This record gives sequence, structure tokens and C-alpha cells, in this order.
Amino acid sequence: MKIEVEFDLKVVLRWFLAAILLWAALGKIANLQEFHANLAAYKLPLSDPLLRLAVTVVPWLELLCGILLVAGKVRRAALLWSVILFGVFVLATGQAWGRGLEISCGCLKLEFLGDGPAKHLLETVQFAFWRALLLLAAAVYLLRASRRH
Amino acid sequence: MNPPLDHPHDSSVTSNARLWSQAACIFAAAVVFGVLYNGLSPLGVRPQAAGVAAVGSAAPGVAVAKPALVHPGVFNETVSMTLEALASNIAQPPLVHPMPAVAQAEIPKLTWPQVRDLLVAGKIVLVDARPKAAFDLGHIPGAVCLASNAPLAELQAFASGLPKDSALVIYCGANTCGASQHLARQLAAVGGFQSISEMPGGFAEYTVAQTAPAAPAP
Repeated sequence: MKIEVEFDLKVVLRWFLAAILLWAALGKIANLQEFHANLAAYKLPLSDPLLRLAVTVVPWLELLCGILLVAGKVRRAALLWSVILFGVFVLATGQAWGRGLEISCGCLKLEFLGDGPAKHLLETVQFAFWRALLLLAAAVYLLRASRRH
Repeated sequence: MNPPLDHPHDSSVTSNARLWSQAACIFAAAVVFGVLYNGLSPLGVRPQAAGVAAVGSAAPGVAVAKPALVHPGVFNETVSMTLEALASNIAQPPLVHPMPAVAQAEIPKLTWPQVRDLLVAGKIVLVDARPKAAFDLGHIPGAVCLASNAPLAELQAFASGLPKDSALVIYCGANTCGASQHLARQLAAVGGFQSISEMPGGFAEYTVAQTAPAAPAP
């Protein structure tokens, strides 16, 4: 009996995006105050109530998008939100990089890496900017591909 | 068999309308879940006046060490941002080599009730290892701000302002942050402090203790 495994780039990308979103969401939901402090460090032109609303809603948007992408349900809407979220992350990390803010990006929980140089590199806004840009590109590709079907 | 589409444009409009309505539903669900969770969680974010400790307030009887490191109540945002931009060019402090034995040893761990008693008795210097932005949003009253990634000069200035036999207790955000342990080793190496402890539960443990109902009297 021959089993054929078909490699589908779109499925792999969708699962990868979902994993990143779920990882990011669970880390933020576990400690909203820490996420609040991380977000405040970006010095975005947001009032305190708006900042707290973002802290409250963004992790759940990430979680819902991650779950929907894994489940393959309401896929286009989940991808649309993924594009918006990664676009916002690109802008936020880009402006922090441009202003020379030496802050931790606060995007993903990386404590399992210890306190070594790898963790510090992955937490820099420069690395976070390029990572968000790649994830944005992947989300845009998947959204466009889903429209053709 | 699907019926033929007479008007492809109509189909596209319908599809887009469905997409945006689904996206709106996802957003609404995120708002509902987020607001509910934030309201129920003891680690939720609250308006500053109601939920977090007042910046700069110290517990009675506790001397706040090294006033120069306590961020003033009024400070200029532009100046602060400029200083942070300048600080970004400063290299991270290297650990002193060889590290003293205390810097390599296991750091004693304390819980918030233990720390609270020591703090009230004025026996410890409580150090907040989180970034300044986190400290400004709220901190344990009586704590001083010394970010774990502070430049070497700032660590040395902090160490020189305290007697070597000072008992330091360091905390960060929660038991997953790691910044308190990093700062503890840095201070042991740079300042030669012999008594450095960590409060692994961090600000989260303090916040939970503040919001939890008081235990009934026996």
C-alpha cells in the first residue's frame, strides 16, 4: 500500500501563523499587567483608556484568530485580522526601532530560553520588526490565495 | 451542481460583505472575552487611580533607598524619551569576572507576606527590576526602580549608595520574568552585597494579595 503525502505550503503557513498567534496570545493573557507595561514602553500616542482597551482585546483577537486558523473555520476573516494585527506590530516595532527605544518587544514568552543572548536577541524590537514583517507577508499571501478559491 | 452566477460582481460584493461581517463578529467576541477576563482576573489592567499602587508612595517606616534612582513624580516626557534614546547606545553591563560566590549561589526566595513584614520593619531594600515604564504604571510601595538592563554605571551608583550589609529583595513582573534573578546576580557581582533575595511571585503576587479578600479572623 502506498501512502502519498501532499505538501501544501498554504496549510503549513496557516498552521505556522496559528501557532505563533496562539503562543503570543497565551503569554499575554497569562499576565495582562506585564503586557500593559510592555505596550506602554512603546510610547505610542494612545490615551490610557485606549491602551488598556488594546491590552484587553489584542490577546483575545490573537487567540481567536489562532483557533480559527487551526480549525479552518471562518478562515478569511481570521486571516484578515491576522493581516491587521501583524501590520500593527510592524508599525509599532518599526517606530520603536526608529526612535531608538531600547525595549523588550513583549511579543512572545521566551523564558524557556533562560537569560542568555538568544533571548535578548529575539526580544529586540529590531528582530521583532523583521519577524512581524515576514508574518505579515505570509498572512497577506494566504488571504490573497483564499480569495482565488 | 452549483447554479450559474448571472452577476459575478454581486457575488463578490456578497462575499466581501460576509468577510467584513465575520471579521466584525471576531472583534466583538474578542472584546466580550477580553473585557470579561480582564474584569475577573486579579492580574487584569485597571485605571491607574483605582487599581495600582500610587507611584512614589512608601510604606510607613520604610526608608526608600537611593532617592536618585526613584523616578520623580513629575518628569518631562520629551526629556525622558531623549534620555532613553541616548541610553540605547550604552552597552549592556557585563558581569564582573570572576563572580563572587554569592553571585553564583542559589538566590533565596521569599514570598510577598515575608517581604511585606521585612519591608514594614525597615529591614530590607526592595528593588523593582522591571523597566521604568512598568514601574511607572505601578509598583510595590517603598520599592526603588532599578531595571535589570540598567547600564553598569547605574548599577554601580546604586551599589555605592548602600552599605554592603544591606539586605536586598528584588522582584519583577511575575514568576516567569527572570529579570529579578538577573539583577540579583548583577548586584551581587557589581556591589558585593552579601544578602540578596528574590521575590519570584513579583508584582503579580503583590497585586493578587491586594485584590484577594482578607482572611477571616480566627
